[in-house]
Amino acid sequence: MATVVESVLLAAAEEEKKYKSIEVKKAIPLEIDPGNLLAFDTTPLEVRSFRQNKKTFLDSLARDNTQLLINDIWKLPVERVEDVIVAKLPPPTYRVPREKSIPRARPPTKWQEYARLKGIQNRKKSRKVWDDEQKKWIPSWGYQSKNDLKKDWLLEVPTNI
Amino acid sequence: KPRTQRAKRALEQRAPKLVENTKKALFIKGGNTSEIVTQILRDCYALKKGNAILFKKKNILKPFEDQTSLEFFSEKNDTSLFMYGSHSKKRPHNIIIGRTFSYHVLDMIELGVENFKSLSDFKNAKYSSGSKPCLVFSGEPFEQDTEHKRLKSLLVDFFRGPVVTNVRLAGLEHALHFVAIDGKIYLRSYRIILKKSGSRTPRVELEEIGPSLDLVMRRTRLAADDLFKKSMKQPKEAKIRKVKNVSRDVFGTKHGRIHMQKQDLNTLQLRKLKGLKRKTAETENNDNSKKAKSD
Repeated sequence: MATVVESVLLAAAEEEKKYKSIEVKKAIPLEIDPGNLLAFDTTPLEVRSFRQNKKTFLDSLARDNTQLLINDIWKLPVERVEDVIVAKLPPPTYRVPREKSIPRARPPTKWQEYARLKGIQNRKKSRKVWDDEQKKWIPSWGYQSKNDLKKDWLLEVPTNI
Repeated sequence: KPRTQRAKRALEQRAPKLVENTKKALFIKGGNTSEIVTQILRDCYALKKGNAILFKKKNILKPFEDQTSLEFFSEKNDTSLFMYGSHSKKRPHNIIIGRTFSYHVLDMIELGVENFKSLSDFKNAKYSSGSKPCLVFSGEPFEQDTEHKRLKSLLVDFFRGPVVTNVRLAGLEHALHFVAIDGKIYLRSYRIILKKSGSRTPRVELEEIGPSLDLVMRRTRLAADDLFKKSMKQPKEAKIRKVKNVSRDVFGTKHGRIHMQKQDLNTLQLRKLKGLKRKTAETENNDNSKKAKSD
């Protein structure tokens, strides 16, 4: 039994060795804004080690910070869209200035002003009205409406012609 | 006023909006440019491709002395970011990056370039164009110094690309790294290689793909605080309102708090039972008469 457990543990340890760690230690945690894919490292940098070898210093610093950013992004809720795994980004927290000023509301027209003053409101008129005589819904205007002239087969000639 | 539908649409496209368009960048070549500066403009244009316009002819401007022509270009092309490159004896390999707010220059920062390596100097695979870069800033000056702070804001604005709600996890393949150390700013661009780590989160390996620049800050022209504040103002509609009485616990379960008034027990609808019915005088009489009949 004990040997089995040991062998499993060994296998796990070997498996772990194969992969390099994804953990990065930082004195001050990064400020991360996943909405912008932005990370901000405030930890003071060691100038001496930087001067010794600039390239390796910058590369390792970039790797560590990017790893931290990626770790954070991978924690976001994911979704599957057309066979692609997509992470949902929260709205950006780091704000940048607008491009143009905020759009102003269009000034009301003269009629709108007047209507507001008088309290006039638009009323919707329905297309059909109930006719009590015919006991059915008829168009409120036009053909076959109540005032349709063509309905009567005989009409008096008006006097005002 | 527009005369055609097309012109009307074009005007609507440029009009100020609640949710704004992605900022476009304009790359302007100065009257005299060195090879390095031209290459930088081209490389940055390649980074921003899709949201950028590159001017290939010379434009003799002096952004720090006279901004009118800059503002004119910005308005003509509807771009709010610009990068201007020039080269002179006094300021060799000079680059000015800046942004405008409603077609007026908001801030400008002049950077001198030392040690430049272009995209084509690195002979390796590049990222696919149009991917949103990861931006990483490190160094204390970006937190403490006002000019560096503004530069950070400007760089984020310049390189962040469109604001998106979803991102393809496998598509994160470009990282831009800005380090402020030793009085200089180091810009490095990397391709992200995601490797298996044994857990869900992959291990990140980076490969430098260029451009790489060492920058020195020269002249600056930062926006006045009130103007900057004005430009940062958010429309009321875009602000996220706090939803009251709804919370989530550690497990992600939604909890709501409801406020209820005291229930009126007199009007409470209970199960109707015949035996419980209150009898009025009439019904009682009826009952009695029924009984009498049956008897």
